[in-house]
Amino acid sequence: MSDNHATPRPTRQPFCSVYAPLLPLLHSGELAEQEQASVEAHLADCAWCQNQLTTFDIVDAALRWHYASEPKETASAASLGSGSHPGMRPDLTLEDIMKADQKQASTTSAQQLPSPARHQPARMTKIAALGTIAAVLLITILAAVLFAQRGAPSHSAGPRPTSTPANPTATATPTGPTVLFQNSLASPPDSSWPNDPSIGCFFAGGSFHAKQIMNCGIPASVSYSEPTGMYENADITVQVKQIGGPATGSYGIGLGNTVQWDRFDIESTGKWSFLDCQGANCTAIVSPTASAAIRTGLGATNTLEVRVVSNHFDFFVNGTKVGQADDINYLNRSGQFALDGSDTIEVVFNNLKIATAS
Amino acid sequence: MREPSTASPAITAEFASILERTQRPLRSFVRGLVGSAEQASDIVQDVFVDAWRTAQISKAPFDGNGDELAIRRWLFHVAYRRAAAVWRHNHVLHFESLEVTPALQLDRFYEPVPFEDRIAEGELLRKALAELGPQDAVCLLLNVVQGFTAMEIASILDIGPVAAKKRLARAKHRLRDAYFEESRARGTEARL
Repeated sequence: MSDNHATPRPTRQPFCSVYAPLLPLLHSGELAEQEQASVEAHLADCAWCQNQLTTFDIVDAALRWHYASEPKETASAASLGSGSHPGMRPDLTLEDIMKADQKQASTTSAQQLPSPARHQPARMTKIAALGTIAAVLLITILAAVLFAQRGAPSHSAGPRPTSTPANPTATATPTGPTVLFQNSLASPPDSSWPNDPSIGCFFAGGSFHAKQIMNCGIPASVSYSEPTGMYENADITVQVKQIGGPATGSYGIGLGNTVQWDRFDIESTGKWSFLDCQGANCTAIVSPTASAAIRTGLGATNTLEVRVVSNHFDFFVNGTKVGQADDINYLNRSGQFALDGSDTIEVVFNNLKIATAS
Repeated sequence: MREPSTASPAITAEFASILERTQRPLRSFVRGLVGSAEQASDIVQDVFVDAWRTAQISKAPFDGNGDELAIRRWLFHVAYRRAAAVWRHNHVLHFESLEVTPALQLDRFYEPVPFEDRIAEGELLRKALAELGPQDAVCLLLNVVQGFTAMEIASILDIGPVAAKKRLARAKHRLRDAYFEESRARGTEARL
């Protein structure tokens, strides 16, 4: 509030524009040794940059003060004023986690993670309720379509994997391919699709872009529409084109969840691969393998298709089968779907079609 | 139905220790992203359920190798993903230019915030963070509060190290500008 500083306003010097962009990183230890030395040398004689640096330090300190770990005794801390945060709860125990795990496993029939067992605020309850209503409506519509086309759904002949959530009403498998979702991706199919340039997943120029991001998770409106609730009987086709970044980057279709997922990818160099990923760490089930079916180079459009039945995958590029693989871990993963790309490239997707594989 | 836990006693004990050590920093990190302690607690619980499932099948990084840094990266990565999804659903994303924000024109020399202003400062900071995109906010919180390097942030966010460093610098500019603009707008020039 004080406006009574006698200190004259520092003036910007000619070289300030060179050093100013480096100031935010000076105290983060992220500058190269040479950069650090030259910035410090400049700072010694520049009040304007010293002023700038101080402002970064003030905000950093405030950030640390307010967002460092909460006190362990959260219940008592809740009455301490600025150090407390409304909604803070006691620390979780392993027992809480195991209970939440059991509850999620027993109530997840459509692979949508339910609200935690112990904590379920009203907001999350509303979201869960809306999601349930949407899922019921979707299943009803799908059932109606199936009945209209085939009279009644047949049942899967083979036993379901034991890790699959038990839901007898959700294991019906149509006797022939059924289109579950089809969209040109020229614009967002609905408001739940990710569409934000700042996160790298967005619609522009008549395509869905994945820019410098590992994957763009596709929303529940698509992820959970497959009748079994998991992508264990699915045929996914999408057109993809790399428009930026090195040709060694890979891109394609991801299946699994945000933690554990499988990727069927191609590179613009003409290779395809199948990866088993734990977050960002991927190991190759099928190492990058050249295929003449893949159109190469930036700007080349390829149509990818992955057919998955149980834990067996068949891979196609431009209508040609390029390979197949099995991943036993796949059955432990919840059924979500993503369009993915390496973090150094930009790819665009069009004409997504999801059908049953059988 | 999920099968009973198959994790070994050693992994179970290690997991309990990880839970004890990391849940509070993780919760404060998520709170910085979603703005709500309530939602942060929900997200953190879900993150640890994911982690527990991974530990039960002894998969990296919960395979008993004691790689604490890898575990921290994994937890923050999953927390970020979940928090970003909540952020999107909350419709609080802001569409902003990717250009670095021009330097703020400062009229005065800033002084440290008095302790009694902490509550107002916390609210200012919360609003300023909400104005950043999730990837900017996450870079800041990971670096400034949690002490991750740009290289580690790159690994957590699945981006390149150069991109992580750029985002960090940009985020610091944006947060500072938003913070002091908000401060001015409120007339709380005690900070100036």
